[in-house]
Amino acid sequence: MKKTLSVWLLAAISVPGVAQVPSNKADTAGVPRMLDEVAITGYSPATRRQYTGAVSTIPGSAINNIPMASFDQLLQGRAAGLYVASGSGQPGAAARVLIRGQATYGGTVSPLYVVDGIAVESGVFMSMNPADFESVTVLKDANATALYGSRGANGVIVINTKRGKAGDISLRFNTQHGFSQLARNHFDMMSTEERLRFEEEVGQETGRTLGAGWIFSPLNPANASLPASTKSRYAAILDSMRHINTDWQDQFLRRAAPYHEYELSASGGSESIRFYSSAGYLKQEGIVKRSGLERYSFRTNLDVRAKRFSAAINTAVGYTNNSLIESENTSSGPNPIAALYYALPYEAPYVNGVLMHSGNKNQLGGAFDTREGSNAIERMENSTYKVNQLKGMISTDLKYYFTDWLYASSNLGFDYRENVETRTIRPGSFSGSQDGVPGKQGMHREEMIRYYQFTATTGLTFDRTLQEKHRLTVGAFYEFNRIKYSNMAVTGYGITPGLDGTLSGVTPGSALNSFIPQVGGRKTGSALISLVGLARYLYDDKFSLNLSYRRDGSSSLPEKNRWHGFYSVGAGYDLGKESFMEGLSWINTLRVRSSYGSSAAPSAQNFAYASGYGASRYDGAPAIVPTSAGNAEFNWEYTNTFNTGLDIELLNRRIRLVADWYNRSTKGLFLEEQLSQTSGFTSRPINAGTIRNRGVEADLSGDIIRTENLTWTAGFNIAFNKNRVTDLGGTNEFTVGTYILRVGLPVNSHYIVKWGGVDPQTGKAFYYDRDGNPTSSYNVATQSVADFGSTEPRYNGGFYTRLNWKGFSADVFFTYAQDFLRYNAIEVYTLNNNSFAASNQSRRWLDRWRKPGDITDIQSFSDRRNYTSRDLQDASYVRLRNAKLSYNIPEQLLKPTQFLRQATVYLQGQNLLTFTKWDGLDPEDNNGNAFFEYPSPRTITAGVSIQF
Amino acid sequence: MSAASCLGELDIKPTDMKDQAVAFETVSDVNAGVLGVYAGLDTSSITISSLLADENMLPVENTGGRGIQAFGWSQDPVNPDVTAAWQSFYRVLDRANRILGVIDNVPYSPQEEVWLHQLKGELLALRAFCHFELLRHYAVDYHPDSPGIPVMTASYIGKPARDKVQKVFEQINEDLALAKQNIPVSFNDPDRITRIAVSAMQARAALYQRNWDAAITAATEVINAVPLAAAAQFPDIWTDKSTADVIWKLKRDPQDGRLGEFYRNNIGRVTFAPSFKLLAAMDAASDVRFNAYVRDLSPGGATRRWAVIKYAGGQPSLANLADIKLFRVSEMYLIRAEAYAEKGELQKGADDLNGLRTMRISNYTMQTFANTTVLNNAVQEERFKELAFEGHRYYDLRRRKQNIVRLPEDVIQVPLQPTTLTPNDRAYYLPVPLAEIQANKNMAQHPKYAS
Repeated sequence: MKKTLSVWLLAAISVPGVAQVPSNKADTAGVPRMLDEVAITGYSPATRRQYTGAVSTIPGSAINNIPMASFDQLLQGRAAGLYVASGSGQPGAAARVLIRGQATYGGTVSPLYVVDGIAVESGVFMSMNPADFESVTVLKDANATALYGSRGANGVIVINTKRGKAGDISLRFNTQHGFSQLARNHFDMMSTEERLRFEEEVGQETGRTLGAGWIFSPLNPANASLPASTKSRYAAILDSMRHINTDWQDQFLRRAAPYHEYELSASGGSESIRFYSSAGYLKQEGIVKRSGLERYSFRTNLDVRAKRFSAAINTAVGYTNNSLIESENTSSGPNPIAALYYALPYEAPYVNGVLMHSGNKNQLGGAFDTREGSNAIERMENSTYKVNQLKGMISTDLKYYFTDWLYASSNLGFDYRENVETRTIRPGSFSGSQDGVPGKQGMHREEMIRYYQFTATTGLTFDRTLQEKHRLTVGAFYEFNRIKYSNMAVTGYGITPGLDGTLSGVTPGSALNSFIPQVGGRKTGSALISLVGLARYLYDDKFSLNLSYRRDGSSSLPEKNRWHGFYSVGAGYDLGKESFMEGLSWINTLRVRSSYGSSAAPSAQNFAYASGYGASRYDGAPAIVPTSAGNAEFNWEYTNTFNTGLDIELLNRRIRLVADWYNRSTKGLFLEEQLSQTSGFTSRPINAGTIRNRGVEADLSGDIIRTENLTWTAGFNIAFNKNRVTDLGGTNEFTVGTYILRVGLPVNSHYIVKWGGVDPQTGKAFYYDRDGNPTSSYNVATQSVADFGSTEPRYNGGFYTRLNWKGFSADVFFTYAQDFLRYNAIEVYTLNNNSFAASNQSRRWLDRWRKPGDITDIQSFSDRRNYTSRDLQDASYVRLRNAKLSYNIPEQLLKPTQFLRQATVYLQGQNLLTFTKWDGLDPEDNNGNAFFEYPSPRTITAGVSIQF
Repeated sequence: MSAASCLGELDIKPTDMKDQAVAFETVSDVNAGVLGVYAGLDTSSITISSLLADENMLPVENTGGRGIQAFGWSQDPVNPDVTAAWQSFYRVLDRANRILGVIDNVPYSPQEEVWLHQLKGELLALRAFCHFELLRHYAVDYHPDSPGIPVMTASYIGKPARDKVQKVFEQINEDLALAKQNIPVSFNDPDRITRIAVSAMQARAALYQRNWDAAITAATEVINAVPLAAAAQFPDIWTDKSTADVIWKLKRDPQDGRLGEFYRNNIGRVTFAPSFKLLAAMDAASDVRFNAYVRDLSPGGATRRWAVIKYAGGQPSLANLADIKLFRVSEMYLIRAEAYAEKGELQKGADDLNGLRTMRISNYTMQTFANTTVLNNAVQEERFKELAFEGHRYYDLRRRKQNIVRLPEDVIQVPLQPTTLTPNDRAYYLPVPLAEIQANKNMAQHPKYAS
């Protein structure tokens, strides 16, 4: 195990493609060998040569110092088979992370995250500083999943943090500053001119009043007989409105939201004790006003080594102060993203510097618009929504070496998270005095969420090379994992003026003052016990064989189904080592590998199997009501995966290819069986049906030029995944909103009435029935079809290129996701003839049908607007995710300073370009519906990194 | 694997849940369960009637689009405004059935015997109420031989088919009769079902069954027990300062959903205004109901801004919080008047109608009615006014197979909206939720929605 150090070093510099080649060592000795990469580090570390599973490794350099607060978003496009889709551009928001497609319907889809051997909560990353990450490894197939047992059924993301290296203590300081703005300004709403004309035209066409443009129009028959003085006043009103053209983006968005980051780290030590210690500060303002994130993070990793004993002690604490916008992802008026669309362009929010909202507009002289924009501003200014998060991760990994080849290990770790979420509405404000606020004097809500996960893994490992050719690793472990979650929430009313933002401002409730506070909370938890056995055998660096077995017991299943065993087998063969290949010296590595294994996931809900009663109330007294149907037969969701792959290095290891084919079949899906509602429930959890994910992945990279002063590398990864529901096990297909679960289709398949177009004679929309005949009738229940595909891209990945010339380097990195459709549900609000039309509308209305013979896709304003396949849009995109220019200041310049060892200046941009047909601000989303979500920002920063 | 269990605890019990097996061990537990049944009752009958019938108009202020699909008579099997009632009433029905299935095994002391009987009676009445509401909503029509809704008398997961209307009514009648035996006369909480409330349910059920004698008998029981509200008391009923007239109401606490928000939302926008048809039917000056039910929010303004205030509540700081009156004695007068009219006993019917009007309209002069049709039409017109926004109008029209007719000014905000809906039209009926059809192969959709 003396190799540990070199293994760490290798992991740092040995990743295909992005390998950093020291500029003074261009000879092949410095080029890392692909098969010597550390593939896994979980229960016992192994190199790719020993390992037979499918893995991708992302070097820390690809994710360090990128201006994004939640590290999962940094993984987008970095590994074949990993799909990362961000649902919100709010700083700190987590993304949807999917490895090799969605293999469940009702269960969790997110992979297991393991930091330094300890499981951490998924989806909560904003308090972790990715600058501390040495590498991120994505484990994708059965070898990985069987080893992590029921926790790894959706793949595993293994994070190793930086560790100290023996030698001089080195200090590194990095800082970067910049700004964020809207990544894609694709906003197509009417201007004042267009809106007023639209209102007038609609008035003429249908007689309906949408707003001032018709009320004061000289063409309005109701105005025909008015006295001349009134007519001229109306004309003056319209004329003054025409001069208002409010740019609502100025009101709700920041054009240049500042970004600042500082980070200081120190590392070093001796052979017996090494440390890495870092402190970081990040402040990022969001592109929507009021949103932002401030993070303080600390980490110290300590390695101790004595003769027979080693210990690795890792501690990390992060504290985040996150401010969020109101009501994101809803159509409600306080959501600033929705208000951006709704607000009329002729609404001027300020009158003589005073915000005129619905609450004070009568005092300020009134307005002829909806005040939706101003009301949202009023809400934004008089309310808060903050999340303060404290996250701590502590782990201790102890090893005792009985001999060189046998050691006992014990890894204990805590992951702790506490969120304090506060929402307030200031008393005395318009928002705080509405009927929805009991007592109409503001409100304050405080919710405390506590999450804690404890993992202990203890075992014995045998690792020995026998007769120089036989390397055998055998390990046996016992693991205990316990998760506890609790929350409590208090909402108080009657806020004392000046004491908003704290519980101390809440007035105690009584029957008379109606400030009755709301109190709530819940508590849940789970436990998992596992016995793990693994064996790896490597013969002459050529043949490898992996076996693993794991038996898991989960508290989230009924007692009779609690325990289950999982296994995997894998084999690899490196032809490059064979004597008959010696003649083909341009082939350095040609390894084939294959694996098969089983895995399973317990339910995502801790007590889905149980039926029982929960609390309710009637007439002021406590009551009990049945809360879950339960299922005493509830079982695991089983996954079997076959994987076969190739590892190839060619031409003096200039070209590297890792390719995999897999077939992953998940049986006994966690489905909600739709029940006849006569049972009192709409559904109950069952295990039924099969989903298959089958796909190909390839990761190709190459050094195009590799000379002393100039290196040019490029790489490309792609993953095709074909997702199919192959069986529903006797349950009926069912629809959830505009999606259907049906045999033969992918999960999340769109299911909607097919749009036919607009009849040029009548201006009415027509649709298709299930037989494909055009019809004027619209019936969701009898006409919906599933012809449109699903919300998941058919293929996705990333590509990059990097050029190093002397001290200069340039990196360009693109990500892409292709061939999928999403609903643009925003257009239900911005392209509608019902009462939504009183709010601002899309410019697409300007192309509507007006008279017989008009050929258009937008129906007449008087035709009913239905939700159809017209609302599905191609969300495929290619994104310039990151571009970076950096310059290492030459050593000659640094030497005279006596203390500077290295200095780098850099300039980088995130989301610089987006290529898409999507008709909205952001094609990327974590679900199939665009619904007034916070769009992804573009962030441009410049920084400097100094080592001394 | 018991050896492993001692190395770590796997037996984690749900913390926020009580197991069904131990849920009902005392009479007090049963009481909590019965309260849980009441807790599930909602107000969809009232909102559906307001959306589909002629009680309401869609004002321009309803910018959120709430309820406009059903109001525009284009509801479909996935429209929650009209399908939520299916789920909600069957859920409540199932809650009652779960307890009825175990109630006879609950141990009780002699002092608790009356209480336990009362609880059982309440459960039976609640079951009957749910069956009745489901039938009113989702039966194909109300003819005894027409397909009704599945009768559920036990809690189980199955795929039941529609039972005939007659069978549903038989179950309702049986449950109500048994409930009456169990609930003691002394129990008089208007927030729960009392014995007199069971009589009121019997009267309403008999009306829909066109069983005039039973309707008269049951209505008379209630009329004799509960006086009509005096004119001075009447406005206080709607602010919950008085329980005059009220036989059974759903108690609403500040944390509960607020029906008033259906008519005027929590930022003060009128989402469904009283229809001009209804406003025209009542005389503002002499009819005590006018100012108790509706109000002009901008009396001095250039345009009228009518709002339904029946559920606006009595406390300004708890806007839209009001108890839901499910049964009032005035309905009993109208039921009895209709029954007498149908039986040709015009004088008795006229007495009931005049008796009610006298209490509601100042300086009312008694009227006479020439024949059954005239009297019955007058009774229906009176129901329209007296029971507006209480979940009657749509079902009254349906049970009498009459067209729904709106005034053009009530639908001005709905493009190209017809003003008449006939029993031949699809939207005249309610669809069974698509989720039920998908999950239950024996469940037939309403024929008007089947294609």
